[in-house]
Formats: sequence, structure tokens, C-alpha cells
Amino acid sequence: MSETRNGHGPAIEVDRVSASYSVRPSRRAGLWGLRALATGQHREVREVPALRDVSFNVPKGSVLGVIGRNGAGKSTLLRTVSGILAPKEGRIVVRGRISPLLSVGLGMHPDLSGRENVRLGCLAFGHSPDELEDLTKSIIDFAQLGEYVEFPFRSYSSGMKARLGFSVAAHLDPEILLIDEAITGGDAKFKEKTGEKMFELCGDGRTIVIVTHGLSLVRMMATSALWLHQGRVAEYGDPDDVVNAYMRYCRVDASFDDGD
Amino acid sequence: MNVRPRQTEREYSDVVSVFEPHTFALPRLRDYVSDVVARRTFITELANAEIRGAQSSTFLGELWSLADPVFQAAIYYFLFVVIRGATRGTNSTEYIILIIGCVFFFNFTRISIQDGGRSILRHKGLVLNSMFPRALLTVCEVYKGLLATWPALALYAVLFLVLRGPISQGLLFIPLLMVFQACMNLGLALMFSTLTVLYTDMTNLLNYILRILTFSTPVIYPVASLQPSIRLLLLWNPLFPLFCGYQAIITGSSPTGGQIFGCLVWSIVLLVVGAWMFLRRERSFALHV
Repeated sequence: MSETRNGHGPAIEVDRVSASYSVRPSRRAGLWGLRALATGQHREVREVPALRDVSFNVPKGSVLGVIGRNGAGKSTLLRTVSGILAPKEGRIVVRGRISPLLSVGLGMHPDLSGRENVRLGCLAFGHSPDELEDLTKSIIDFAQLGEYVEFPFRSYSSGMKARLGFSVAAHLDPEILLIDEAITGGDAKFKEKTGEKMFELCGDGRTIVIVTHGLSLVRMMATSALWLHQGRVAEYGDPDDVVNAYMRYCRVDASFDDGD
Repeated sequence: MNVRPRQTEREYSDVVSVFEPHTFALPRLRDYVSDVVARRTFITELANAEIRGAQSSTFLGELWSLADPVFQAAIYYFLFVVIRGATRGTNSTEYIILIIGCVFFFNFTRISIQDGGRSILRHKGLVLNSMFPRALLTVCEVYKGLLATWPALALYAVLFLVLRGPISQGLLFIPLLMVFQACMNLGLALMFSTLTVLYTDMTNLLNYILRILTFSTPVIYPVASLQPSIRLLLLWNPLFPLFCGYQAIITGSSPTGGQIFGCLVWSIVLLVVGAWMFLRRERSFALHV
């Protein structure tokens, strides 16, 4: 990764990016394992292509909704854009401060309390200890976890984890916010609150990339949408057009499955 | 229906990040180090929070940081004073002062390698979902090792006085030796944390490497008891000059110039090699964890 200064152009430029990750296939134990050792199969590492030749731009201040079936490469795309995962081919240029938290709750430490996780998230993003008290208070107030904020993160329900995770990501003040499945958790009241916060962030001129299965959310908030299918861009453009195309595909696919 | 609110103009910072296919090129060292230093509070907060978290479910809680060295000292007292002293009839007090001191100092290295070597794998969630210099996680484990060593050393100081250990000017060298030890520990932790990510077998091997390191370092035996040929062989152990220095201090003298020079050279070599291995592969960690 290289970092320079001069921020003219779109917030995110993804140019012919391919990415993959390595997986070691599970092997049989016992004598079969010894056979694998003898034949050299134990060294086998399979490379799973997750993104293939993906290109798109996200202008500053816009919202990109990323949709697609499970395993389409959506989370890998976010990891590649945030610099966590290096692309195998292609180039990504990001102009602005990017949020460090992707999958809500996954980066949190299970043994630490909600409050401790919030403090660590802020510090990892680069906030100074002076800002920490006020920032932690706003995040905790927004998440509305009550006394649970002092309990270990592992004791939280998935909804509580989502609430805290979204609250941290939304309050870190990034210029580019990447969110993976942020608003699928939480109760109806919190979903409403999250929606309001998202509107606030959108209106504030930030760039947002959101990976979601919530198609109505993409229609409502996104300025453009990207449908990923088996690591490739299936559709990219107007949110309504992309969502319609994706829904058509899902219906056809479902009827095909039923017929099977 | 798109109901996005009207955009307000926002000035973006002029930071531009470019992500390209992984190469083994090193990042700009000055920027990397200043990034780590800027996030130093993260290291201390994570270390303290993890220690609290680990102890929160136990009955003794934070008292364990003191109970651990007490139990260790009791075990070594039993081994070297009760059993060895009774069978050999030697002056066991000097021996126990030496052994307990070395064990407590070695704990710093043991924890750093044991936990630091697994630091990236242990924080897989953070590595896959957050972007920050990964070395912070390894530095944090070494810092935790240091935090765990303080109570033991405080207890040792009391024991040293009670058992009338020799007080000499050599004691002034302890902070310097601990700085060398911290550098060596960090170098080794960076090295092993890279290897455990890249080669999963390394996680299992780490226990054996640590055991070999424990027995090839003068921790539970006095340096003076070693034959010259064995001593020559152990010179290749980076921790050898360091623990020769600690033993010299505990027995009432000072570390020699050669020992201090050896510590300095090994500290630099381990830190440079460890950092080089880690920084070259850091960007590929997310692929392997």
C-alpha cells in the first residue's frame, strides 16, 4: 500500500481488481493423513477466487449498495477496498479517511466489555486519548445497551452486537464508511434509529459503501448499486435497475431450484 | 424510490491510499513506526483490558498476578531446597535465590513468545475487519508479558532481602538488561507471529521451541556449572549472554563487557530480523488467518 496526498477524483476507484484467498482442504485423519504426507498432498493449498476483474467508481458523497447471494464476494470486496486484503490483480485508489470496521461486531473482543471494545475501536482508528471519553459516551448512548455495556461482549445477543458495532462505525467520523450487513440486527426501534443515522451520514457528504441483503434499503438510500455474482460484476448502475435485475435473477433461480 | 437527503458539500482530507497486488516490499519505516507510536494507548488499553478480562471469571481475580509467582516460587523452593537440599546437602539458599530470579526474568520471554507468537491468529477478528498496523497486536502481547513480570519481580525483591541475597552495584544493570530483553522478546515475537500465520504447524512447534529455549538458557542451572564445551555451544542462544548477566547480578557481581555487548548485538539482530519478516508479510496476513 502507498499513501500520497492530493485527493482529486472519486472517493473509491476500483480498476480491474481480482482477489482470492487460500484454503487448505480438510484431510482425513489417521493413516489416510500419513498417505497425504507421503504423496505431498498435505502441502496442498487451494486458491479460491473471490473477485474477478471487478471495476467501478464511487464518487465522493455518494452511497453504493452492494448486493448478491451468499459467497458472491461482497465481504471480500469491502476487505479489498479497505486495504485489509491485497488484490491479486488490479488497483484500488481510495481518497479520504476510511472506516476501519467492516463486519459489525466481528472485530470485537469476546472477553472484553462493550465499553472496553468501544474504546479500543476508537483507539485503533487513531483517535487520541483526549477525545476518547466524549466519543465513548456518544457511542454508548447511541447503542442504548444499558448496564450490558459493562458485560463481556460474548454475552451479547446478535442484535446487541449489531447495535454496538454500528454505533462505533457511525461515530468514528470517517469520510468513507464501509458497512457489511450493519442493519440486519437489532430490534425494529433500533433499525429505525440506524436508518435515521444513515440518512444523517448521507446528508453530511460522506461516501458510504453498504453490503446488504436489504433490497429496499438499497432502493431508498443508494445512489448506485452493484450486483456481484460469483465474484464478477453482474450489474452496476442505477439502484432500481440493478435491484430489479437481481430480483428477476433470484425468482428465476428459485423456480429453477423448485423444478429441480 | 430514492429518498436520499440532499447532500451538503464536505471537504475531504487529502489522504490517498493506493492498494495494489501484494509484493514483499517493506512499508516506509518512519511512517509505520510513527503510526504505531501514535496508537500506543491502544497497546496499553488492550493489554490491561485483556488481563482484566482473563481474570474476571476467576475467584481470585487480579490477585492472580501475585498468586502466580508465589506458587512458582513455592514449587521451585520445594524442588531445589526441600528435595535437592536434603539429598545433596549443598547451600540451597544461594541456589534458590538464583533459580527463582532467573525463572521470574525468563517468564517475560516465555509469555512474549508464547502469546506474542500467536498474537495475529488470536486477534483474527480484528485482523479481518479493521485496518491498523498489525505489529500493535504483537507489541501488546510483549507489553502484557512485562506487566505480568512486575509483580513477580516485586515479590522476588522481598525474597532477595529476606534470604539476604548479595547487594552490589550490579543491581543497577537490571534496567539495561531488561531493555535488551524487551527488544529480543519483541524480535522473537514478531518472527514467530509471522511464522504461525504462514505455517499452521508452527503453532504446535512453538511449544517445543520454547521448551528448547528454556533448557538451553541458564535459567534453572548456574552458568558456572556448565562445561566449557557446552558453554561454547550455548553461545549461539541469543538469551545466553542475557541470563549470564542476570546470574552475575544475582550472585553479587556485575555483567561483563562481553555479556553486555552480546546482549546488544542479539537485541539488534533479533529486532531487525523479526521486524523485516513481519513487515514484508503483514499485508498477506488476512489471506492466511
